[in-house]
Amino acid sequence: MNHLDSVPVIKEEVKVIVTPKVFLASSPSVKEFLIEKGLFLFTILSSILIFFVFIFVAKEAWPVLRANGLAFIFTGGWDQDFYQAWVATAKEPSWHFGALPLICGTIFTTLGALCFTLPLGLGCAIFLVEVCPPWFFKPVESTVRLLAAIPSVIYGLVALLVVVPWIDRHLITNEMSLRMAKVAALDGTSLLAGILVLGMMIVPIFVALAADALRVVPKAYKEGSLALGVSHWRTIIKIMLPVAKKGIIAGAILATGRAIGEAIALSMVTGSVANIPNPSHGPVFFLEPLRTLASTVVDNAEGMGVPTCESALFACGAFLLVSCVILSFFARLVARGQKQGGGLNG
Amino acid sequence: MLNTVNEKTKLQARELSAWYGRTPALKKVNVAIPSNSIVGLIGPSGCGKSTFLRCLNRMNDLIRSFRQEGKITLDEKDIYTQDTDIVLIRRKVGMVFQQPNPFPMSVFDNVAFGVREHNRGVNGKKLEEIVVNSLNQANLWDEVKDKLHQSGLSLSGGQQQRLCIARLLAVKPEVILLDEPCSALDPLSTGKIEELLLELKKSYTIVVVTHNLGQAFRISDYIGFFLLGQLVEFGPAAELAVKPKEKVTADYISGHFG
Repeated sequence: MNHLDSVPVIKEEVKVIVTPKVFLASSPSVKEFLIEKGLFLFTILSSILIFFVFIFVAKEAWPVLRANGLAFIFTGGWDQDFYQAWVATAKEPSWHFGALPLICGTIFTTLGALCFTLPLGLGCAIFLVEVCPPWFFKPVESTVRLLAAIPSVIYGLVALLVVVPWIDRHLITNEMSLRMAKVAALDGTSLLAGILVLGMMIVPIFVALAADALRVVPKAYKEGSLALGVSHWRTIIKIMLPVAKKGIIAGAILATGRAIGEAIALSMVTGSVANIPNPSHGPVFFLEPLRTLASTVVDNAEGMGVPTCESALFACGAFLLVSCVILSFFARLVARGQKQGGGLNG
Repeated sequence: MLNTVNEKTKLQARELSAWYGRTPALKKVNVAIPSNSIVGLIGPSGCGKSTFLRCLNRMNDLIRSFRQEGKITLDEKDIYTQDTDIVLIRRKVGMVFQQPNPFPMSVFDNVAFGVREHNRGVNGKKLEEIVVNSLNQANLWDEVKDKLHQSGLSLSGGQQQRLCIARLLAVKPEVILLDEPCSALDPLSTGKIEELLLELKKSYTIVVVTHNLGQAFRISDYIGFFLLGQLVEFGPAAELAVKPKEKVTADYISGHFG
């Protein structure tokens, strides 16, 4: 039958509930009132909790941030600093920390992962929504969702057992190891391993969000374009992707947030050395070990007993928090732009 | 039975049957659509007229459960063969939908979109000329000449529908299919679209599905009456209006249906 011709008309019946005054105490309106206020209370409580997390982290991070100022961001030597602070006596604590290597580590791994996640994920999302035959869609979609749910330590473990030895055996030459001996030991734990494992971890999130964004592109746009004799492929590129653009960007931002915050898997495969991989070293850049802000909090957790070290780790945490806030702010900005500027409903 | 007409046949369906999954939507439809005429398709909801329309430019290919048998020819060439270039068919047989669906881009870009896609070389003055001509042809130019760079979505419903027609005219199709183009529009806008269609039939072959019998008889040269997936009757509009051959047609037209 032709479903296009029939527009179902749904009439909503409004039931009027008459409540005698005697039963007012247990009337639906009182129940609703209680539920509403209860939910409101929970909302307030969780907001307050988050607020206190911020206050707490800021308070703990403050001594190190105050002692170092901008030098915290712009100087290196974290590992030595941390050791100095660790062995310093309580009377003469060492407050000097330089987190540049950690910040670079986070930026390099995140950007690297995005570089291969975005094209791969977008391709995958387009395939899922536009190309994939229905019998194949379910298994692929379930797999993607499963991938998103796998604990990161599993990704780390697989990468540590498979990717890291592979890099060590096939990509690192003796000549490279000798040349880099003074900088860092090349053993496969590297930026490349970090990028690969991080990319694999954020692909599913990005695919899921990008596919959702593509799926809600009004069918009318697609049909309109096809009916002009524009090919399916060009329709995807010129109509569907631009319309879904904002949702896709929001997905990319969320994936970035996940990448920045990832600690365990990266701690396992990037060598846990506060080294800044140097692009001027050529391709070896990708084979150098490093450590990210989030991994540092995990890897150096044994320093928590020492007030200086503790504060330094909280300073790393503060950076992560701030970057996440900035990202979620951007995500919100993009989402709001979609509502206002898109006007998809005409 | 094959409907024979004296004029040159543009589109022809032979023994066309179609199904959505197992539900039959069309049963052995035979019809010849003459060029440079307006063919109105009428019938109650769910009778298969939109399905038939969407067969003519293979729009139904988008529906996975859709299946068809029989033949449709465009200029005597089968459009359902293995090696048919669907994109080319849709270029020749364009479609306007029930809900106006301008793209979320400027009025200018809406019209220029198809042209740019089909001929990457066209730009600047030449492109502008095509856009202005198309808007003129669609009787929309005067209303939008000052807002070419505003979003197509900012226009009124009737203007949006004419914008959709303009964007179709810009790619120079041979046949224009319209699926209840006025059902979302007010009477004034409907009148403008009808006038426009009457002008356009000089250069195009037009097939229009409509629920508005008045409209069907006002603008059509030929009328086809669909019922339960069958083309019950097809003939010149004037004849159908006065003395339809089938009783159901007469009942439907006079409003005594069911």
